[in-house]
Amino acid sequence: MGSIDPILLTLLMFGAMLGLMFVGVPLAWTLMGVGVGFGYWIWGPDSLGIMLPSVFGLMNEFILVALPLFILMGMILERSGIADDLFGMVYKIMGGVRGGLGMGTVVICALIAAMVGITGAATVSLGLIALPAMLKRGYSKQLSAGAVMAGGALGFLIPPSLVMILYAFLTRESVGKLFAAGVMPGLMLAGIYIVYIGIRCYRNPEMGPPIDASERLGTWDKIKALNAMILPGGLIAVVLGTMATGVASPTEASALGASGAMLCALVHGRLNIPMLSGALYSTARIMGMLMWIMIGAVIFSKIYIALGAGQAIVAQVMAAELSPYLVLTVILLSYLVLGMFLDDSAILFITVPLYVPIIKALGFDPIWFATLFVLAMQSAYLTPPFGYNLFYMRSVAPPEVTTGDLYRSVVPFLAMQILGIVLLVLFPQIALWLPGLIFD
Amino acid sequence: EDGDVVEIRMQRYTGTEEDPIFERYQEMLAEASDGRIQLKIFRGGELVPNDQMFVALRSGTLQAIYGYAGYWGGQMDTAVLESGIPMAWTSLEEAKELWSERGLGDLLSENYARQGVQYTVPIFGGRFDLLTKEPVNSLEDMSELKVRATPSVSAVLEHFDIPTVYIPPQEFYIALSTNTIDGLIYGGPYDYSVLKLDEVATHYTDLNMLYPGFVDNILVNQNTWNRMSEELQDTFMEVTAEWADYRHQKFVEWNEEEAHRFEVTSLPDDDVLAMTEAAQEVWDTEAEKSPVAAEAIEMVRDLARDKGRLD
Amino acid sequence: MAFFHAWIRWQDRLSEWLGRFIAWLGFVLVVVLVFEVAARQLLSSPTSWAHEASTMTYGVYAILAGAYTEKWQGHVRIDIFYQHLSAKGQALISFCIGLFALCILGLLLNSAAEFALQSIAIQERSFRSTWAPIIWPVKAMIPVAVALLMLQMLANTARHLCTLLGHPVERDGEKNTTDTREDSHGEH
Ligand code: NA
Ligand code: NA
Repeated sequence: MGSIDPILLTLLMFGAMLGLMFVGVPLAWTLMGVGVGFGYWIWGPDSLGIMLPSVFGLMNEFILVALPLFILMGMILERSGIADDLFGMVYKIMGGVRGGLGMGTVVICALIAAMVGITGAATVSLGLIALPAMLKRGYSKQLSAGAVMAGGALGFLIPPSLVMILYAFLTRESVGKLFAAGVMPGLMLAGIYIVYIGIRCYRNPEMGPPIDASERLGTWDKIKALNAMILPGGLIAVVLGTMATGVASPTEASALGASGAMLCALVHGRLNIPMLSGALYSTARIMGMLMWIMIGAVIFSKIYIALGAGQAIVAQVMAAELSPYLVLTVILLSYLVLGMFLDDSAILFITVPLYVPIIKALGFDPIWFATLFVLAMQSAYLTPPFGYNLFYMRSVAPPEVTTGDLYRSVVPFLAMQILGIVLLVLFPQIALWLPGLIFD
Repeated sequence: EDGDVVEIRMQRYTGTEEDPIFERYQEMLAEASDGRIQLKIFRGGELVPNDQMFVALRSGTLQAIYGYAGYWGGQMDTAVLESGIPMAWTSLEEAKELWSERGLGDLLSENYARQGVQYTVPIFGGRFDLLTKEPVNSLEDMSELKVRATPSVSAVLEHFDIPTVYIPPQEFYIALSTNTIDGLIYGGPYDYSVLKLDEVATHYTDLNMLYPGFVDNILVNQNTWNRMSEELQDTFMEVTAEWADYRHQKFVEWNEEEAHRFEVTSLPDDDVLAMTEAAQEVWDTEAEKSPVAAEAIEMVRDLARDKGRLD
Repeated sequence: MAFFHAWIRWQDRLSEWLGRFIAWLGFVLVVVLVFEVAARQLLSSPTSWAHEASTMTYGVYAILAGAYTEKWQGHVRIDIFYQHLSAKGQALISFCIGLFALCILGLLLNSAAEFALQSIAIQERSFRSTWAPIIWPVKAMIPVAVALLMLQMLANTARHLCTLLGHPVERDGEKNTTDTREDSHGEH
């Protein structure tokens, strides 16, 4: 194995990756190709031997079994009619308030986030249900689309969360603690979005006008509307409750959640073979995509580390004795930049082996860092050109909402996400309080 | 060729907490060989997952490993017994006798050679006992507990109707604090305090089941080994043996330092004998894997008989 | 040309049916794990096999799903330049990308076959529980998955070539039968 300057190697590998991606090579083959190419060039044919043990490692890990199950749960919920119910409830209770539908959309997103581990379920469901309803009531296109996309991204911060499962897989941290750490930051961010929408619409009612007085309900009817909360509440209790009390491991909780989602669909009369098989087929296609991105990313990352660049860069950072918060800032900025171009799981696999040793050496808490990472990945879901929630929204939004509208709509929400990151850096207890409370 | 530098890409299964121990190994080797042996050590999982290290070593992707044979228990006949099975040895002296005087070391050496791997020395680990939330004074106390254990220990516990489950180390803390498990058999006071388990369970029961509780090894890919001159090979062996003693001593020290965090009790002698009896089945299972494994188990059995632990 | 088109359609159908079959393994996972929780919590008798059986099922499921994803062209990518090209321009780029990916996967296939053969040769077992099942069939699925993925990719690449040569392949009319809503390339 020859030696090469670690900075140069880093630039070459990431440069080649960006180049291939911009040509349009799918992410999975880009990462794999760059990894294999550089391994072969610098290390020789032996480097190929590093791929298979790692591929098998991704197939042979119990906590990863939760990935397809949480995806399946989201796919079933998306088809179960729960989002319709919740939106109906929000419409009845909050429709009369300026910006009420927008704020309510964020609330629904947070509820769905507490049931599923992915961001697509909330974004797609509410993109189909809430967005047209808000547009019809004269809501601003940007405010409504932004609320759905940013709200959808809460799916990763509020447990359960696929990204946190992957983080636990890579760092050997406890899934339970990571999940607990995401709750308060997630609620905080949802709160920030709600306050923002409330203030904007209070000042400019034309951005989010209240529904007609004739459509508004009395107090008793509003209370009755809360019925819609029963099923989601039960499902949240099953998934998070069994995990917090130790009745089920996170992986088992994902299976309970998927079967609970089937029950919800059954209650709505929507459980049937075509619906279930449709959900299973979509899950398999997404899992196939996720698995091969993980394979590509793990190959890229292992070769990068095997070539010695990882250790060298960590050693250089530590030797420079920089201020820990300066290093942390640079790390978080790199996440925002990588988030523009890469998938969250790819970013995770590539950067965790590099950053987490630095974070630990600087004396930061790895659980807290995980929540910062997930916060940064929420932004990655909203930043063009590669942002999943932009893709989802594009695929379901009515034609009058242009791609330009979508790009503009995320700007204020990105600013709030960055505010969330700053708050979490300043007050680590926002993340660490709950895991301490539950598990100590 | 003697002047050539041999660079060795090695992975260990341990994490950042053991960086200094392995830096010392690196330095000892470099110094004793005048810089001709250069180890490049990667942490657990950095290049390949720990349970695939042996595969990667055989194929040459890794050139050396610091491993625990339990990881490749399904890939090699003698791996499980090498890593330590219940009641096989109960003191450092016994283990050393088994390896160097009764021939287990040579047997393993030959067996690894058949896999294209050079065996160096055993690295004797620390303690391997039961940690529980409630005090345990006998096997009977355990029968109402859910315990996390390795497969070969589980096989023994199943004899006494003690239900066992498998949970990965990163979930121990939560599993104990939420009562998913009532106890576990994983390591010694040091290992438990590294995982902060003393915060949720403080009753430590000396099982007298296996000490040293786990045996690690350093293995080198045969092609890499052959690239070294005989003199360098000797240096490698000597330094590794010296470092293995140092490493074992560290386990002993650490376990002593952390012991005050726990309330220590031990099982009555009757229970220990009963476990030795129950362990025979595990030994038989290992012996059935191959004639070589049977020969190794016979060494273990002779040792136990000579020490009066077995009829 | 007709033969060529027939082969492409046949490959599409193969991936579709294999993919649908694999997809139901997801349902198997739910059943196995719910059974384990019930056995442990309600009957106080945890199984020795559920965790490893579900892990092995997941492994096979996840790796084999790649060909199904490829059939639906679901491996995500950035299309900011691509989308501005003409149909033939897109076909040319996709054709080249297909060849690139096939080369990379060819290398992977070779290593995967060696890896699997080594495991088969020693009849490798898993060693995490007293159950100790054979694990080599899971490893053997890796080269199978890569091969199936490559076959589908070959068909997709051939389809782009047909477009380039001016003989585009019509899609089978199955697109609307697998899902209750339209898939986007960015689904997650
Ligand atoms: Na979630
Ligand atoms: Na992005």
